[in-house]
Amino acid sequence: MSTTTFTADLHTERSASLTFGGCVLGFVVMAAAVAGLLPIQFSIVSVFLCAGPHNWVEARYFLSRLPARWGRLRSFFVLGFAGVLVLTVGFAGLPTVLDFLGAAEETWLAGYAVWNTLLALWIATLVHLRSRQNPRRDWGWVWPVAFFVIALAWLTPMLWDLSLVYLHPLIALWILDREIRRTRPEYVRTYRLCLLGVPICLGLIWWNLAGAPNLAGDDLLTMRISEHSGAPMLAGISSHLLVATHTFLEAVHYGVWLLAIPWLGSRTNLWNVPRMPLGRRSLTWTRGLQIFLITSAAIVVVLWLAFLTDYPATRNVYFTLALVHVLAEVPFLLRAL
Amino acid sequence: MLTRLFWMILFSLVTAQCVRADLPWNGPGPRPPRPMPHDFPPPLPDPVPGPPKAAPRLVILHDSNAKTGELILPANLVAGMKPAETPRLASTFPGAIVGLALVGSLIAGGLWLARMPRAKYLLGVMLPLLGLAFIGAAVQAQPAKVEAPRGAIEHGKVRISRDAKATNIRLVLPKRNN
Repeated sequence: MSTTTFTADLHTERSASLTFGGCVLGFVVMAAAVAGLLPIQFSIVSVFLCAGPHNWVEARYFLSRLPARWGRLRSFFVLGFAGVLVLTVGFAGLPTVLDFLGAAEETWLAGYAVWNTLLALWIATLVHLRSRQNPRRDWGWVWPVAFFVIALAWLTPMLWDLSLVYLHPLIALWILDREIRRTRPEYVRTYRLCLLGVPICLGLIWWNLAGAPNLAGDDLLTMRISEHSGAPMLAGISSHLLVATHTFLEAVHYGVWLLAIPWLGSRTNLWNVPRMPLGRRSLTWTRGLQIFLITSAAIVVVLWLAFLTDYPATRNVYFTLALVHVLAEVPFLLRAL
Repeated sequence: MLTRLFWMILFSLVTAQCVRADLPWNGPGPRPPRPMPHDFPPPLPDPVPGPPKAAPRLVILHDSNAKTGELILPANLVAGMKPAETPRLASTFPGAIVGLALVGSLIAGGLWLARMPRAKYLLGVMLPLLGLAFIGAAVQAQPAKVEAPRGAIEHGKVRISRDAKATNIRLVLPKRNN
């Protein structure tokens, strides 16, 4: 009797795992296909629909993972939040300041190199602090790597920035890996196998679009989307390929935050504010968190309205301020490791 | 003993790069020729628009009272020339930072590796690296260019001035007694 139940459970588990893998792979392949065929259109629609909500889910996820009392983690979190604030303000203000000063091109590059240096040092310090917390890790490699990265940032500041644009979506896949391991460890193997679909799809996109002509359309939005994917810097590569690659990676990252993490959240405190560590502190904290989440949901609605009013301008502002969530992923990912 | 040897190799790796410190070109091998446009350098704008004038001649004079050489240029010849730009910090600054960062990376990497319990096995990696670093530094170092001997006319400073009334370029040299 018990053997039959065990076999049935195993069969159900395997079937669920296959369903999960099929969903992940199906999403990845579909995103790659649409991104390759209609990169600009897909980029516009996906940013319009997903930009705000995925930030909201990220904020909710981070709040659910934040400990109620920081204790020995105080320096880690203080540095983490201070870095997010300073680097975001610096990134948003840098063009204005340099433009006001009438800076030469070399000064612009030096300005961005300084920002990249601060980012590398901030991440390295967080990694160092994290390695000294339990469970302790030997992450002494972080400093040589950080200095090497700083050298690269000064050699090619703009290419380094561009690499962040392409690498950021992959961080979501790493966070999802940790979350699956925490909540549904039986899916880890399937998920990691499915991850192979991302490089395969990227390879197919590059193979198909390597010789594609640049994207047609000289309107401001098309130019801005091409610019964001690095087309002016990588002039020898088809802008169609670059935009498709970036849009595909962005879509995968939206999928992680809007589909996978909320689904996994049914087994955690993601959807239950009073059960969050911060929410358990007191009723005041619970109410505060609820008010914050309602307010941020209202901001998502405002963002949609702004997109409807002036899509290109809103997109520009969004991608500047969205750096907050890019940077905030660093301390939370490190805590999850 | 092994730790000391490790540090010596690390130090040598860092100092090996100093061999190339005085080189104007940091890339691999000798500096490749820069492709220049056909019209390079661009012609200077005519300082005084108007009918073409005869090219100024170079007149060499000897003055017994002069203590240093002096080059006097006609004012209209130098009117269109801009003063030399002051060297900009930004042109050399990134290279220095890149160098510092790479040295920092090397030192931090050495410190990390030295703490590893099996650092002795790294010696097998570091020794060939040291050899490669020296060979690389030697190959990339450009030999000092010895200029062909030439008859020296004058040594010392030359004062360059301009004269509003001059039409020719005058080079005034101190008169020699012998």
